[in-house]
Amino acid sequence: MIEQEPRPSLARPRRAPSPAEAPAGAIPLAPAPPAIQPAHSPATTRRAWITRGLAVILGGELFLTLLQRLGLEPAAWLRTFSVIFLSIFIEAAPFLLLGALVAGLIDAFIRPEQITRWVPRHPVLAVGVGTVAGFIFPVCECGVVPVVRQLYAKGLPRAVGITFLLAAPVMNPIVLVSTITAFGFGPLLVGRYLITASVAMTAGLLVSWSAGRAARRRGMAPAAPPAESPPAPVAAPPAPRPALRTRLDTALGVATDELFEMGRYLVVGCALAAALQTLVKQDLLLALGQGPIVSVLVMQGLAFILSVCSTVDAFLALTFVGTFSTGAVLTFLTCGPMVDLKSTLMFLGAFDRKTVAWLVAVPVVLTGAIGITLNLIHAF
Amino acid sequence: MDEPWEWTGLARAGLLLALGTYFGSSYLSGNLNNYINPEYNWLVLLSAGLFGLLGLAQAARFVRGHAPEHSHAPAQAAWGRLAVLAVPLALGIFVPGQTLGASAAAGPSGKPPTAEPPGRTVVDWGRAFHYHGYPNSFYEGQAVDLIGVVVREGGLPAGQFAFARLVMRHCAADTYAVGLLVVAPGTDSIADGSWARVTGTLHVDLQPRDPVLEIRARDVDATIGPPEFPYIYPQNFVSFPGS
Repeated sequence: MIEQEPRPSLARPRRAPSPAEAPAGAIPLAPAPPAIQPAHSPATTRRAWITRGLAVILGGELFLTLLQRLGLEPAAWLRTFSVIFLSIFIEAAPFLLLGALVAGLIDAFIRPEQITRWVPRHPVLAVGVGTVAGFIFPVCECGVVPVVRQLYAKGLPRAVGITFLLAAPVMNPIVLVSTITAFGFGPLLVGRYLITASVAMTAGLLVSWSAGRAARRRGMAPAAPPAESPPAPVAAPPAPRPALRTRLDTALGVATDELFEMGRYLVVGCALAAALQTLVKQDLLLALGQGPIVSVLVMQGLAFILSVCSTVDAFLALTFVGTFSTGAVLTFLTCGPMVDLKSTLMFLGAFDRKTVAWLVAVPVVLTGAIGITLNLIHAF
Repeated sequence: MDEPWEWTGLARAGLLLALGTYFGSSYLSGNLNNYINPEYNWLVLLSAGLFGLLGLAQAARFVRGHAPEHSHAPAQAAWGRLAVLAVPLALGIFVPGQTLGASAAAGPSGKPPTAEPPGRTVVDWGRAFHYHGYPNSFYEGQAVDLIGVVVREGGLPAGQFAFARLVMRHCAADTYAVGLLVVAPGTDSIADGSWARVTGTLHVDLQPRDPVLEIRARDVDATIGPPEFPYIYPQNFVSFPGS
């Protein structure tokens, strides 16, 4: 039986609680920076900068040696890298900006008690709400992370957030239109939605179960509320809301913070994706893509490296139809938007490592298993 | 102005406004053709507007003396974040945009952009040959006038080269090449990656194990500038009868 997920604290501070003080089911955000900057002596600071400088020089030397070994001319490589890096960044930036803006609006206009009122208490119903929300909100994998971060700060249960985080990039209305345009209404479209909903809900339920188990271990598992119980009581009457202009100003401030917080992970993710594309030939991967198992693994690797926006990846997948098995193409269409290089780095900036491990492992294992099973069924 | 966050607040406003200006000027200059499918240019305009909005709001907060939300973060970390987000701007400004696979830049190169000849492109003919299954007689003797990039692949004999264009679905990260073989004696001095205009007729070579669609060139002009749109986009594919 799945444990009832406890409610998070209503008045949650913006910083992440320590494991000892965190309530059951609380949201494990990435640790906040220390409030007070530790004092460093000028000599220590100088040594640190010298060490960093030497590391950069050594890294640069090693990289130039690698380029030479691969037969690439550094200036030409930089131009190609720059084009691919900027193309991914230019493509992803508007979605990150929209996600940051939505996060700012949530911070300024949504109260924690509203979140607790909207989300059902039963874990299965709650992850159902997360899945349906993913179907409605037009956010891709770049925009969804700041939105979920902000919803967590408002008290959204962890399982619902995880479900939404995984479902939204694949199931949102823009992706629906692009998938229908690419493949029409057929097995690939239906498969994409069914697999994503199953994986997202499974991940949400696993997180819910894990939170309940942790709470029981600490002896904090709350008794199930009576069926007719009203929504969770609010400790104090809500304070009067600030003026609209003040709230808009707050929203823009929070959006800017989210942009800088998540944007650095996007930049690093784009850089890694561009570096891999320019250093590892895709032909090598595609040559490996034969057989019911290897083809699925190759498509997972390709989706992870390419980090193409989920709103358009259906058109890319279209070119693999015929070369790759249906199971492999479906894996590309479901695993890639949930877990790719840039979104994984953004997860690391938003959640603790254990949660990121859940977020990466569950989609990779489940979509891989489903893809391989479909291939094997088709082969026999 | 003694607090480090005050300076980072100003720098954040400056960086956001600079990013907005870069996105806006890229939209207006046509520089985006090297990076994304023009169908999605409106997204860049949206980014320019949102960067500008956030930059102006940040500047207004700075003028009013408001600290950024995360002012408790170490100043070094705040500068680090700024530096990372400045990387796309630095690459966009200091590394010239270039079409993948072509040695001549698609931007200002001293040569005016070459107008795309009317009719079918290299990609249209390549796709038709590989996917539509027309009989060989459909191609035999068809006159072509095409723009593409010369690709010198190992193994091709003298007087032959591959002639390709890249197809861009959404951005430069998802491009793929479609090419035809060109038979053009006396053109071995044309460098790999050069833009060229090839006129001639199509011919299906049945000698290899798999038939190959080749162009028997009448003229190869490698002095042309790159086309205004260096990539071929799926929305511009020319359909064939029955396709």
